[in-house]
Amino acid sequence: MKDTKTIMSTAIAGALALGLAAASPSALAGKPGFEKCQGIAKAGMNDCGTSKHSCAGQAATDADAEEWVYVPEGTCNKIVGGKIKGAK
Amino acid sequence: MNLKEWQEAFYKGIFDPTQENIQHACHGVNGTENLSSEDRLGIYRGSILGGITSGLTGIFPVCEKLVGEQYFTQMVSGYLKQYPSGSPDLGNYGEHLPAYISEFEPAKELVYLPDVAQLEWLWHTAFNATDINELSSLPFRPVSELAAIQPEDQALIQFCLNPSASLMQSNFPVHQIWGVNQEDFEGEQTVNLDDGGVNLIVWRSQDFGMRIDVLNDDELKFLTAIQKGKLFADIAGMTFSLPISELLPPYIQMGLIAGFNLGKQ
Repeated sequence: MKDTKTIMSTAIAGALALGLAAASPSALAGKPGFEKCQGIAKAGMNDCGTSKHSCAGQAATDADAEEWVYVPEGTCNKIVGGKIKGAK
Repeated sequence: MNLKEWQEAFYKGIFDPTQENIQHACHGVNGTENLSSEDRLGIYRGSILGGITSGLTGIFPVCEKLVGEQYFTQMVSGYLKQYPSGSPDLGNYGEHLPAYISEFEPAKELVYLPDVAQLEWLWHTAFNATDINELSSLPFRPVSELAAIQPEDQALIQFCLNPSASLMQSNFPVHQIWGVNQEDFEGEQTVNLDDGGVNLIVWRSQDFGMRIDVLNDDELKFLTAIQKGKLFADIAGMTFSLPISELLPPYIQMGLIAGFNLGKQ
């Protein structure tokens, strides 16, 4: 087994040899996963009112959940498999 | 009522609007000819809840898309009561939403939802993390100084991840769920949970912007050891399927490992 000193000096020499600041996208091409760029800041994070909710409109529905039935209506119907086996 | 009592009463009138709490809060609110004090408190409540909800929708857009706007809004109203915000900045609010969702009975069947929320929170914090170049003092030495470290001191090196980076594990392919729910996604929309779990690192690179990288178990083990501040000597003694000389350099080159400190023996 190689001693840890050799392992460390080899690894650091390798890192320095690659060049630190000159990272190019092509060097990452073999990397698994995917890249997602987001060029815009999220707007309106600290706004009190928004275009979606007029103050009075939101108040009229008063978000209290007591009698509301939770039925998801979004894209979760596109997720399949992995069902928890419920009691019979 | 002194100021503190009145603030507490007002807070309850907003976030826990039982009839009793509303009446209590309304003692300090004047009515007008056309609007009772209850109406005015209700308008204020609507504005507050609307603002917070849209803030959370901005941080957790995929969760909202998965369950739909109404469901998300209702879920968030329960979260507001259980985990009040501790910050004046709406952008800091939402850290505990994944935990809340995992306890949220109606979402029990959406087993992946807490992890999707966690991924979105990590994305949000990485997105807003201070740029390394903007930090007034770096919490570590730049990797360029590695060349100056004597071989006998290399054992004491503690590598530091880019401060924006967070690691996470999920039993579900949450990166796929996240991906197909992005607006610019094209292709097969269906995700099969049986594809299994995933290890992820979420971070913002100086050069390549926001990234979600998939890690194999070895890479996760390696980066977790670094995140925990282990000395290089200890990491070099760990067993990986790849040699360290192949694991380490790419992370330094891509900037995920952004610097280092020298620890004590």
